[in-house]
Amino acid sequence: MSALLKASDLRRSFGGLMAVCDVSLAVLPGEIMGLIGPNGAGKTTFFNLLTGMTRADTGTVIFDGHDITSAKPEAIASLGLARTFQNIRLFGGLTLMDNVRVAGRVHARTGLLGGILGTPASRREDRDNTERAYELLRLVGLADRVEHLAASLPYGDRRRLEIARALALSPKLLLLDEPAAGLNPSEKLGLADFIRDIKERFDLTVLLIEHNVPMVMGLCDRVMVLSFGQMIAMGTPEAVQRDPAVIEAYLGGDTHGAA
Amino acid sequence: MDFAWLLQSLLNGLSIGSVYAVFALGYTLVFSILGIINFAHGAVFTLGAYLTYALAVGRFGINGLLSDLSLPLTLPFPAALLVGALLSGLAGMAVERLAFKPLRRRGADPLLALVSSLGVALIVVNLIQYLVGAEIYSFPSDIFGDLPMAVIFSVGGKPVAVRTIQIILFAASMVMLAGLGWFIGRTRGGKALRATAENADTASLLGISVNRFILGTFFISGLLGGLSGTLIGVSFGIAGPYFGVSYGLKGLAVIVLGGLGSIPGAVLGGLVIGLGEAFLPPDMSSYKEAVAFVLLFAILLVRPQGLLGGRLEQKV
Amino acid sequence: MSGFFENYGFLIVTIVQQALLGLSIYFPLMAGQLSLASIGFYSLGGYVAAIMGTHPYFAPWRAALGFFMFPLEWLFALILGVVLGIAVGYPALRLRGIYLALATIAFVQVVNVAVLNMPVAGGAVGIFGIPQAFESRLDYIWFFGPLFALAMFVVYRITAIGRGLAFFAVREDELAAGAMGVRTTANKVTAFVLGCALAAVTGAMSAPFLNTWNARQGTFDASVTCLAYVLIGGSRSLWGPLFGAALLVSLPEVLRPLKDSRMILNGVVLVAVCVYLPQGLMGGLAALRTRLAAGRGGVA
Repeated sequence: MSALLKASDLRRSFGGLMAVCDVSLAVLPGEIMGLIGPNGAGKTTFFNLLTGMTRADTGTVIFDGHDITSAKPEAIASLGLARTFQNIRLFGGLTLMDNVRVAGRVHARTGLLGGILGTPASRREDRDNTERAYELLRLVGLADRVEHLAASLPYGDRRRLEIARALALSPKLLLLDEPAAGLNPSEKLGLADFIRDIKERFDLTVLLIEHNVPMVMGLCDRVMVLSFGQMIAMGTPEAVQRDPAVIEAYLGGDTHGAA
Repeated sequence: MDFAWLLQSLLNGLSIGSVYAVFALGYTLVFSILGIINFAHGAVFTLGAYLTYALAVGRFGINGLLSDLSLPLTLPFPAALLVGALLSGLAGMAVERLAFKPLRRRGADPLLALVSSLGVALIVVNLIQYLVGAEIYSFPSDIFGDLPMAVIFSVGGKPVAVRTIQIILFAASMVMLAGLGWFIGRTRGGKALRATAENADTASLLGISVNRFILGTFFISGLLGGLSGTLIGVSFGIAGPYFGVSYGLKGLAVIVLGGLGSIPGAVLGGLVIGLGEAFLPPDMSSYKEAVAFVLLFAILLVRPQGLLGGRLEQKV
Repeated sequence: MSGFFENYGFLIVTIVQQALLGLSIYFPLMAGQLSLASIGFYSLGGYVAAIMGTHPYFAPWRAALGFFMFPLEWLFALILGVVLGIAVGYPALRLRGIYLALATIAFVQVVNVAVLNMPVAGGAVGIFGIPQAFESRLDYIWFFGPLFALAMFVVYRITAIGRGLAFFAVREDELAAGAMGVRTTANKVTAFVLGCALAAVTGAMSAPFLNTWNARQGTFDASVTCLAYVLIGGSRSLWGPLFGAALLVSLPEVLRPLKDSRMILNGVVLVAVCVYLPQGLMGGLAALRTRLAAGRGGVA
């Protein structure tokens, strides 16, 4: 089976600090892959490299047959690679509905002039987009607050809104950056089921950064471990858990991440 | 194009460029710690020139509210320059308190801070106009005592003039640059300033009172602004309250050219623009005021981070 | 009595004209971009109309077209606005942050120096004796009024349609907007160019209205004043620019003694709004309404 996402020898340094060092990775269609590692291991930088938010110094990224190494974030998103952010980046001043509708227009065909003139095609497109956005908001359990401002949501709901927004891109691959951070234990339990559910429903491939080890072990088909920018292990959750290099990385370095 | 002209242009460009550099550093210091452009900096530049003029000459002309008043005593020019610069530093602090601090405390959009500092600039400039009128003030020629106005020497049979004020411009700028370099590189305050520039949160964890250092930075920035205003004013006359606005805008071109937030960049940018203006062919001299801004566009097109700026990266 | 109406009417026409400039700043602000270029485009648009209206080269055109020379002037100004807008906006808008503000300031300065040096623009004296479209200056409401209505319609539609969300997404969080497939640079340039075009056409209408045109039309002060209209009125309300222009244009008329210190007042208002009323007067009113409504509906 050919890989949906293939990163080869990705490298990026900031100043003298090597944030990501020659990391290669192939994500297969339909799998849920976990990305773990101590704080500062370069996980988020790796996501940024994949999504065009940070330029790689060297290396290439192929997604779904396209070379996206130096593509802009919006081009990558429209190819079907969606992401959420570790620190949650919603459009705070827009309603929940509009947050999702922004992303839902990724393949829109009608433009500004058509919209201003209110052509039938643009009206239809807006209507369909609104319906789909409503469905997604219902899926994440926020349908009762579609006209609220995103900034008014409590923390846990923001995570769910961000996932709904990413799903509106109709992605093939979904990158989740610490989706369980800041959730309470019962929300965390629900999250794993939810990810499995949307994966089936939308035929997704998922790559997620997570600190919550039990969740990663229960959810992921494969796990990749980064430490100081380098990939130190890759394999099934069980194999990775036993890997001496991984144990060393967590115990020897910043133990916070393993908690 | 002859050698004498080249030499003359080089001299003119270096002296004016060094003042641009000093002035632009005032923007850079504030930008490097707050990430905000202080639009009132040009107004402080104007203020510095007028304050020094008031202290050195003692009275203003026939227009404006202050036309009938005069100071009981005047200072010799070097003292007036110094006091004028210090007062401008205080004005810089007032700008921080008025236009920046209330917004910072609220975590407001940086664009708002830009606008509120524009507001302060409008107030200062128009207040000056209200008080002393819009006429042009030239410093009397005797402020340098017995020094000659200019030294003229001959190169290949053609005259090259070095005006005394050009030497003073260059020397004063170099003193300020050296002093600033020493302050930032060697002193505790300078290190704190750099730490604040790197990361305000870290700095406050390290026990630095961030607000006090921001205030201090505005003082230095205002001092640099007021000083350069006086120097330009002495050199070309104070062309009305608005003259600082056009220099203020030129200063923005300097910092973009050099690289936003880069201290060596501001110096280089100032020199490049000063030299660029000086080397403009004589038949194009009416375009002199556009040089800085054309360079700004050019740099945005080919190297948006500026000559000495680092790679532009967004924070994710 | 008729003299009073003469004055009053002129004030209204001026308010609409100035509100158009405010709207031209409002467009880029919808995408979160602060532009001070409007006054430069206004100045250039005015020169287009002034030159086409007075230069001997265009005499046959004027003879042939009559009144329709005016729409042609608008069209030329519009084209100039769009082309120059892209040329100025694109390099600055590829970048995040304050680069647009800086580039637009530079643009205004370059325009000023350029028109002072162009013989066709009449140097420092400028161009005067620009042919009038109407007998009375009050009739210029037939120029500015429809343009204002059109601009307001466009703003309103942008806020109402899905396509407009891209602007607001960029304003809220440019990075996240990119990650959601929004073409950030293209949207910023579009919002900016809409403003440039509006300012240029407003200028082309204003040259006959004011009868003379010179470099003083495009000063840095004037561009800050336009910005003040928007911020005071409320940068997130489509009525904000009109409200702000009405206030700042009529205030010195109402309070004559303030006329000399008009710009000081503008400055004070700018600072006060930024510090105390960041949503502008319209935003402040909305907040007040919400509070009052909550007060009435809520328990004591």
